[in-house]
Amino acid sequence: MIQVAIKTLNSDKVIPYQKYVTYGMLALTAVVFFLPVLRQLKLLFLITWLLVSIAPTVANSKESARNLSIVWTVTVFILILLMRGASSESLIIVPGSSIYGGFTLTWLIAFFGIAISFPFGVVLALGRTSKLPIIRIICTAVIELVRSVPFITWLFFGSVMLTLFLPKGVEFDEVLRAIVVTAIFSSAYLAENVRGGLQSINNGQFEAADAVGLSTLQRITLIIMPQALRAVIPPIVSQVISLFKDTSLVAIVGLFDLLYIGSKVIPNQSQGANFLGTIQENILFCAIFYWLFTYSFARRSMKIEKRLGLGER
Amino acid sequence: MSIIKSVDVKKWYGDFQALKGISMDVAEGEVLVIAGPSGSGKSTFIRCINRLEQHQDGQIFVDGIELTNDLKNIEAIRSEVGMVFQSFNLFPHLTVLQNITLAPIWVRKKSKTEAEEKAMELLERVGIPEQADKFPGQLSGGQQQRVAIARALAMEPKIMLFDEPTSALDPEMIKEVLDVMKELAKSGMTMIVVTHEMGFAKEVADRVMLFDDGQLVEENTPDEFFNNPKSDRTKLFLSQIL
Repeated sequence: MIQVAIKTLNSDKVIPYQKYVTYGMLALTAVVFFLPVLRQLKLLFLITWLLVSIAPTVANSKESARNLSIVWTVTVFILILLMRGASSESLIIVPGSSIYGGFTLTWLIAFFGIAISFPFGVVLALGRTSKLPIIRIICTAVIELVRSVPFITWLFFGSVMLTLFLPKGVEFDEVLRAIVVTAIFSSAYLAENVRGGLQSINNGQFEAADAVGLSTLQRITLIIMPQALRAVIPPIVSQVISLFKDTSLVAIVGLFDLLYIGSKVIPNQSQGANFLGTIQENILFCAIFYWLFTYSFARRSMKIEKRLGLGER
Repeated sequence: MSIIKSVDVKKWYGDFQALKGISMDVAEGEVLVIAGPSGSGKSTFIRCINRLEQHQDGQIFVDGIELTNDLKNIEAIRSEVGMVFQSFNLFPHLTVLQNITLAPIWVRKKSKTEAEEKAMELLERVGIPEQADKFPGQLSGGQQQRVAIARALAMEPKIMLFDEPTSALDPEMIKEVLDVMKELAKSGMTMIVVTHEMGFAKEVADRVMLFDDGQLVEENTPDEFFNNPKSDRTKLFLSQIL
């Protein structure tokens, strides 16, 4: 099965039965998880399914892209469910109160951080280019304030200082706070990327949109934004990759992400299995894991750029 | 009854006065050609008619509605006035068909099928129905400009403004665009055309105007304009371009 996954990853076009392989693997993984088999086998199935499900990201077809989004959405929920079950008597003992640890945490923060920052980033970019001075000043201030302070400082602010400002008894989940901080930080950078795209739009596009009678909102959503976002796909993907890796910083505020578990937690444990001193292997594994994901982002963006015909106006 | 009326329209860019009091009117169904050297304010003037530029003094009435800062009026006027630009300004991320149907669907709230039928009709009229599913970047300049005309016509405007529609085109492509414009003129559309194509003016214009230095220098029938101009400025202009 790993061979199938690797084959799919290597091929340039999506293989015809990709969809069924993915669904099949999903079903198999689910079945295996409820069977009394070795936990290692369960995890192996899970990882294989992950590999199979990210295969369409390196494929070039509209249909596979649609399937992909469905598969990924399902993955979120199933991963959370499985991790919940698996963490109860895992081989690896993860300290801390949160049930989220390891790759689930990395993934959660990266995915929701980016997803939430997107609309905010776009709105901030529009605000900064607005003709209304009050909106422009507020958006510029927010962007500059967020950008001028390091990410780690914001994480500390979210985990330590925020409780000082909130009324007594009001507390948010640590993971939720990390996601919110990531989203805010990311949206400031995204806003500047999008603003770059907005500035690349020829004035004639605004005039043509006005001349056919579109309202301001229609002009932005139908004419300006699609072109502006298309122009800035490369920097946005760059930002997504960078954010995905920066999630490893949440270890500083006491969350156990993939890298921290690999480099600190597992090498110090000998319960269940003897993992003592396995730091090099773990870090290498984490590196490959990060690479696998970031490279598939990059490949995906290349395909999207090609499909949208960037550079051939 | 005049469909466009301007009274003493003035406009400044900083210290520079681009329009120095333009008063004119256009009757329904009339084809008006505006000529003049670059920087004479002719483009600025027709861009004032659908408020792409804002005049600072004087009044402009389009179909009885005065152009003011009232957004409702501006939108009402824009949906009745089609505009064709020198640089086409098609939407590069949309196909030809989507370019044409966008405004009818979103502004006129037409159904997609209805808008597409109408769009195909218009593409037929401008002679390029086979290009409907291509992107603007894949078309020649002349074809792009014809799509731009179809896009403007899709809103079923009462007035069409042409801002140097052939200036960015190769000589061979000028004719195909002018042919479409001639056909449009014969169909009874009210048109204001800023152009250097004097052949077009002679053939289809009902009236020709000469702008110079932000002023309306001469206003005449094409026959009189070319053969028996009133002002010396017109004579000079004609001697330079003919």
